[in-house]
Parts: sequence; C-alpha cells; structure tokens
Amino acid sequence: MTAVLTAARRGRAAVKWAVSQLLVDRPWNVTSRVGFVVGLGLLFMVPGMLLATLVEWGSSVSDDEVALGMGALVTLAGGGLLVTFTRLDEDMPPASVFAAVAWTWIGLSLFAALPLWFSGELGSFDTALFEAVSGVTATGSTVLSPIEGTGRGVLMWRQIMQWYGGMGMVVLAVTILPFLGVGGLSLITAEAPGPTSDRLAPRVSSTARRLWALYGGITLAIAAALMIAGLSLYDAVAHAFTSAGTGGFSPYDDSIGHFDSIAVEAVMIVGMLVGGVSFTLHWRAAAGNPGVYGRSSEFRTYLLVILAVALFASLLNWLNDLSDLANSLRNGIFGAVTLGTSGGFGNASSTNPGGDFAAWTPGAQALLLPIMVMGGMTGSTAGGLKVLRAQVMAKYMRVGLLRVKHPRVVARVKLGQMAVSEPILQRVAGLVALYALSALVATLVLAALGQDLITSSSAAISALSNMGPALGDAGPTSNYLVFSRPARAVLMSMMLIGRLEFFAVFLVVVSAYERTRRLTRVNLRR
Amino acid sequence: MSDPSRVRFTWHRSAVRVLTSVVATATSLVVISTVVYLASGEVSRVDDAIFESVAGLTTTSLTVVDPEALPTWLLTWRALTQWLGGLGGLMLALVVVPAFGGQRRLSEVAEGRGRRAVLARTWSHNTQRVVLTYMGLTILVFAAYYAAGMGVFDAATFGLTTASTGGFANYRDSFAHFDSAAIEWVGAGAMALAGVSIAALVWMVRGKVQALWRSTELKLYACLTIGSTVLVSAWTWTDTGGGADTIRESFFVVTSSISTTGFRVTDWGYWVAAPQILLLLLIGVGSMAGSTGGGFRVLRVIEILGIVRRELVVQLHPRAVVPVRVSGAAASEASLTRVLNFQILWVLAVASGVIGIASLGGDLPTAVSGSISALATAGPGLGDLSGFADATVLAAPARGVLTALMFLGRLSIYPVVVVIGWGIGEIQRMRLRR
Repeated sequence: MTAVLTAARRGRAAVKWAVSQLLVDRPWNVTSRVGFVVGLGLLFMVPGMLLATLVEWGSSVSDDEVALGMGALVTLAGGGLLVTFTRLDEDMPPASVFAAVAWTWIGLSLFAALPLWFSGELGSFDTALFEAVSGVTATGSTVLSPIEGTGRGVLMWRQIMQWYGGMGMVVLAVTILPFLGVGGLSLITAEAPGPTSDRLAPRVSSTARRLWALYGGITLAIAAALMIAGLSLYDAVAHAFTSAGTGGFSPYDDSIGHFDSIAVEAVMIVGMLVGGVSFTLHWRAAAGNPGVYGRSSEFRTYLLVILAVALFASLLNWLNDLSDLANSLRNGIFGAVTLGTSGGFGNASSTNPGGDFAAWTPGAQALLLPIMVMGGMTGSTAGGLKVLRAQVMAKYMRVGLLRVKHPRVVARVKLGQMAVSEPILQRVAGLVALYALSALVATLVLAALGQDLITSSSAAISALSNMGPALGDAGPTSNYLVFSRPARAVLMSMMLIGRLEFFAVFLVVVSAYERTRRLTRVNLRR
Repeated sequence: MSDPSRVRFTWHRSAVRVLTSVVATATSLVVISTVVYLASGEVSRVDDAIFESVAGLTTTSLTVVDPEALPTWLLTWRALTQWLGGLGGLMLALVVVPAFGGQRRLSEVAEGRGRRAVLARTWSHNTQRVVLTYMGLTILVFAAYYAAGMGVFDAATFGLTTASTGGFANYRDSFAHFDSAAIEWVGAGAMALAGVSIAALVWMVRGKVQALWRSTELKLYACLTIGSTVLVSAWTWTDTGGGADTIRESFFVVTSSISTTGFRVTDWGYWVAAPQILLLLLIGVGSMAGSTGGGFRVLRVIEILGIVRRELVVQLHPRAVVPVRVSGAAASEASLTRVLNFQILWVLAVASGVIGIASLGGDLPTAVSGSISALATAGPGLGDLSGFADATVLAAPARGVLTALMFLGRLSIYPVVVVIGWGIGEIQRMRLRR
C-alpha cells in the first residue's frame, strides 16, 4: 500500500517537474499567447489519442494502431514544441484573449483530424477535418458512412473528441496555469461567454480543475448507469463520453436506436439533461446543497420547456397516427431532450422508425426548431443561445411592452434579485441578432450550394447550436455527406462560431480588420 | 388637431387608449369589409370574408376568392380596402406613433436626429403631406399602367393595390395575365417606388438629391434591390432562358418581395432553392420605414447591424462609447431598445405562426414561409404557397393563423399585444372586484 502511494507521489512529482520544465521561460522563447495555449491544448489531447490507440490495439476489427499512434506523436511533438518555445506575456488585452481562444479551437481541430486522416477511414483530409470540427465542438454531425465496420480506435477517438470539446480545451489548459490570474478567467469566459461568469473557487486554475473533476465524475456515473442498463464496457464508455459532452456521436449507424432499449434511452436522456445543466449548479449540489436546482429559475425553465415540447410533439405525432401513444411519448421525449440539450443522438431503428424526428408531423418538427435554437443552460456543455438568454430576452420584451404602455415608467429587467443593466441587455440582444444573422447567411449560402429551405435552415441552426442532425435531408438517419464540400466548409465555420458563442470568432476578424486599418483607438466612423 | 406638443402631453398618459383606438379602428374596418363581402353574396363563409378583409386592409396579397368571378364593383372595393390599409399604415407609422409617444417623428425616421428637418414637424401638416404624396403616387402609378397598355379599370385597381403595396390582382395569374413586358417593367418600378419611404418620395419630388444620398436606409434598400436582382437573375439564368426576360422577371419578383407587395409574374416554386430563399429573406426584411410596405423594415435592419457592430467593438475596447449611426446621425438609445424589443416580438410571432400552421396541416416550408410572408404583409411563399397559389391551399384553421399574423404585422405587433395585455388585466381586475 505504502509502495503504491510512494509511487503515486513520485509520479505526480515527475509530472510536476515535466510541466515546470515545459513552462520555464527560456530567453529564446517567443512571446505568443496563442501559441502557448494551443500547445497546452494539444498536449492535453495526447492522452485521449493514446487511449484511442489502446482501444484500437485491443480490438480485432482493424489495425490502425500505427496511424492513431502517429497522430498522437505528431500532436505531442506539435504541442511540446509550441509550449517549449513560446511564453505568455503579462497583460491580456481582450482582443488577444479572443484570438487565443479562437485559434486554439482551429488548431485543435486540425490536429484532432490527424488520427482520422492517417487511419484512412474518412478518405480525404477535408472530410476528416469536418468530422474533427464536428467532434471538438461537440456537434455530432457526421460524414462517416457507414459508421459500423470502422475501426474501434477511430470510433473511440470521435467519442473522446466530443468529451474534450464538451467542457472546452481552454478550460483544460487553464487548469495548469495558476499564474494566469484574471486573464485566465477571461480566457474561460471567452470560450463560453455566458451573461455571468461564476467562479467555483477563488483561483481560476482550481475553478477549471473542479469543473473537469466534476465532468469526469458525471461521465463515470453515466458510463456505470449505461453498463447497468445492459451495454458492454466499450459501448457504455463511448456513449458516456458523448452524452456528458452533449455531443451526439455514436459508434453505430443507428445511434442509440442500435440498442432499441428503453432503459438505455432513459439513461441517455438523463445523461444529456445533466450535461445540459450549468456545472456551477452541479458543483454547488455536489458540495451538499441539492436545493440549488429547484431554486434556479433557469433550471426550472430548461426542464419545463423541454417537457412541454416533448409532450406537445408526442401528442401531435400520436394524433396524426405516426405511432401509438406509448411509442409517441418515448420518441417525443427522446427527440425533445436530444435537441433541447444540443445532444443530437437518434433513437430511430428499423423496429422504431418513429424516432426519426425529420419524419415527424410538420407541427412536431416546428416545435423542435425553437428548442434547437435555445439549447441548454449557461455554463453547461450544451450549445445554442442558452436558456438564461432566452429568459432575459423574454423579460426585456415585457419591459419594452410596459414602456410602450407607460412611456415614462422606470422598469428594470431582473434576474433573481439582481437587476440587469441596459448594456448587458443590449449585449445579449446583440448576440441573439448575431445568431440570427449567421443563421440567415448560412441558410442562404447552403441553399445557393444546392439544398432546400428546410435542410439548409435547419442545418445552419443545427451547426450554430452544435446540435448534429438537422431536419429535411440531413435528419438523424441521414448524414452530412448530402452537403457538398463548400457547404461543409460553411457548416464547419458555423460550428466553431456557435461553440465559441460568436464573439471570439467574429472578433478575430474584426481585430484583424482594425489592425489593417491601423485603428488603435476607436474612431471607426459610420 | 392642433399643435402636437400639446396633444402629445395628454396622449402620453393614455397610450393604451390610443393603441386601443388604433386596434379598434382596424377591427371595425375589418368588420365593415366583412359585411360588404358577405352582403355581396360572392363570399359565403364568414371566415373567408374575414380573411379577405384582413388581407385587404393589411395590404397582403393572400386571397381566398377567385377574382375573375367577382363583379366589377366588388373588385373595386377589394382594391380600395388595400389602398385604405396602406393609408392607415402610413398614418399609424408617421402620424399616430410619433405624436402619442414622442417616439420616432417623421423627420427623425427619415433624416436621423439633429438634422435640419426637410419635412414639416407639425401634426396636421404631416398628415396633409402624407396623404397628398400617397395620392400622388397612386395617380402616377395609374397613369403609368394606362400608358403601358392596361385598360382604365385595371390601371385604376392595380394602381390602388400597387401604391399601397397590397398586391391584390383582378386575375388569378396576377401580372402574368397581361403577358406584356412593358406592364411588368412599370409594375416592378412602381412596387420599388412604393417601398420607398414617403419622406424620400417628397425629397425626390423636390429634387433634394443630397438628402436622398445621405439616407443610409434608401441606399441599403436600393443595394438590396439591385443586388438581389443580379443574384436571382444569375441563379435562374439557365432555367428561364436568360436574356432580358430573365432580368425583367427577376427584377419584378425582387421588388414584389422587398416592397412586400406580392404580385406574381412567374411560378418560382420550380426554381432552385437559393433564389426562393433569398426572396423570402427580402420579404422578411421588407420595405423602408415610413412606406406602405411591411416586413421588419430596412431601417431596423440597419440599427440591428449597428448594434451588433457596436457589441463587437466594445468587446475589444471595453470603455469605448460607440454610437449607432443611421443616416449620419446617432440613433437614440431608447430607439435602439425599441428595435431590439421589436426583434424579439417579431421572432416570437414568426415562431408561433410556424408552429401553428404546421400543427394545423401545412408542411414545414409552407408554414415557415407563410408565417414570414403574412407577418410582413406580403403574401407569396414557398412550398404550397409558391407561384400563383392563393390561400385556399391551406385549411381553414391554418388560414386563421395567417389572418392573425397579417393583423399583427400591419399594426407592427405592439398595439395588438399591449391591447390584449390590457384586456387580460381588465378581466382579472373585474374578477377581483367580484
């Protein structure tokens, strides 16, 4: 026992030494925040790649160990080089925070595509890159077809990517940057800028560490529950990764429909719902205060909306004779949860065709669109505009109506006890507008590249909300090979824009524009 | 009425009363028109008569009657409801709203704040200007149609429904009936003009080129029209044979969409998806603020874009004070808040419409396009609503949803929602008293 403990202590010391060696500032280092954060993110991806390699090695379906191992090696080399030869500078202007986050995600997607590309299962690099972007943004749109028959290592890497992406690589990188101080928090918030940025601990690095510990714990719990529901270890772990991260990849063509088991679907529903809840709430609840769930109005709204959509959609499907009441309810609830949490699994199979929500009655499909846009709670692994923003907008609208009625009224939007200031309201509304603009532009471009109205608009929303399957031709039983290569490029950028909640990606563009215009001060006219 | 400053003071305190009277006026007009349709014996069902009346008074081109089977006097009445509806919309936007809320005055809408007003500031003068310009436009359009070869009756009714961006036609196949390039060119140009704000029309008459050039909204409106025409032509070039015909048809459908008029000249349901979606977007964007058209309005789009840009700049420079400029002048924060609120209301209305229509029997493309098109008071859509289809392709309950959307859209949502909220509050109070 003592021997094990000593070994563990020595191992930890070794890791600490290695990390400190990596982080040490050498005189020839280049000052580059982007490079440093990207490097750290890459290093953190290596264990996942190694795990996938191990799975591949252990399975007899195919032997792509070398390809996956090569991917891990290249990523290790890339990350190591970047971390060794770059340093962080002290001050963190907002522009560079956003740039760091945006470039981290682009860099990580490129490297995450390597194992897929090397294995040759996805053909050319651009399909591998699409799969990787869809993976690390926890979207779940796939171009792998057929999925079954692909090597287990590659499939496992897809699941692991979504697990990483669910919580966010930058949060991961921040766990070992105790010296970052305030800049670290702005990095985290730039990765998922909610209206509020909660700290779970006084120090940013401990906040990030706690988030990841919680995430790991939830994943383990889901995996255990899936095993109890009757899945093999491989299936359970694979699906736990993607349900906690509300990703949506599955190693089977029929997704969850492959198992055709109500128990498995129930566990997945709970898993996705948990993934779509704010991790701050989870942390407080885990710290011995489970009452926080009931007290959070965002949590109540989140559950209520999903439940309402599930019930109404089931009712409409049942009334239109799509299936009997029990099956309608089963599929309605699964569909509403999988889209309301931006999960994106499907439970359709040959024995349960009603799970294909792209084939639901039009009314039920129309009900799904709003929750696809809304997504999960702030501070969760889910995508979309977030429930809190929808609540804030609803209250903003009510105050606006009050002002029409009583032009001189002093009314404020309140969240709990706190009044929300006008600039923050405008920021949220601006984000909604950005979402709408991006969705409209993407819809038009996708349509110009040959898709119909419903396919292009729902695919744009799906990509922006990091959902996965869409309606129309890109439904849960189809895949994204229906889109042409340029259309997939548009979708990829929408996924990244949506995952980073708009500002990071657009700001990189805006700041580049500013730099070229040599506008250091704000004197943009018109 | 007399001086607006005095009028405004009392109206401030009774905004609900003003809004109620707006909604009540609109409703009573609908009732009158419904009675006319029913009394004529040409429309037998009450809900059809209501639909036709609402479509007319909201200047939407959706119809449930066969216009070729109607007597001349009823066709005239049908066109007149649209003309009245257009006038009502103008009065609401340019006279009533600015007067009661001290909100956006005509001069502010058209020229931005702080500029020397070209338009009169007084209430009665404004009303006079608006009505005269509107009548002038109608007569101009009538004359142009007549010159292009329409009969007197057609030119008059089409003049009424074009100037009001209404879109009711005397023929089942709308403009395709004439099969005349000249008439289509005139129609397209007239629709484009009808989508321009009354203020800008006044400038055009007076030759105020500078004022026209300064208007961001007019420039964007023109750019959208021309750019979309180019895009639609390019997308449909091979399908429609290319050449002048394609350009003319593209220009026609683009102006018909962006001005939210809704005249049809071709069945775009057979086109590829992209131009259809672009036209739907144009219908959603709609015409200039202060015109008879509907939609989200180009002005609001500019303000939304400005807010988005400001949010991006503020993220980079957290202490920057960035004004949102429209036509060279900074928009007031209050007006920006109103635009953002309107955006939410608009999206909510469309979403409810989509869910409603889809649940009541329309397929998804029809529901999405129908909601947007009805709320923008245009008419044409995709799916079942594309081409020369009239509203009878939808079941009666789904048409009820369209009716509500048209009504909401024409009154720019606010009055209806406020009055409904006030009504619910009154009922609750009555219950409490008991």
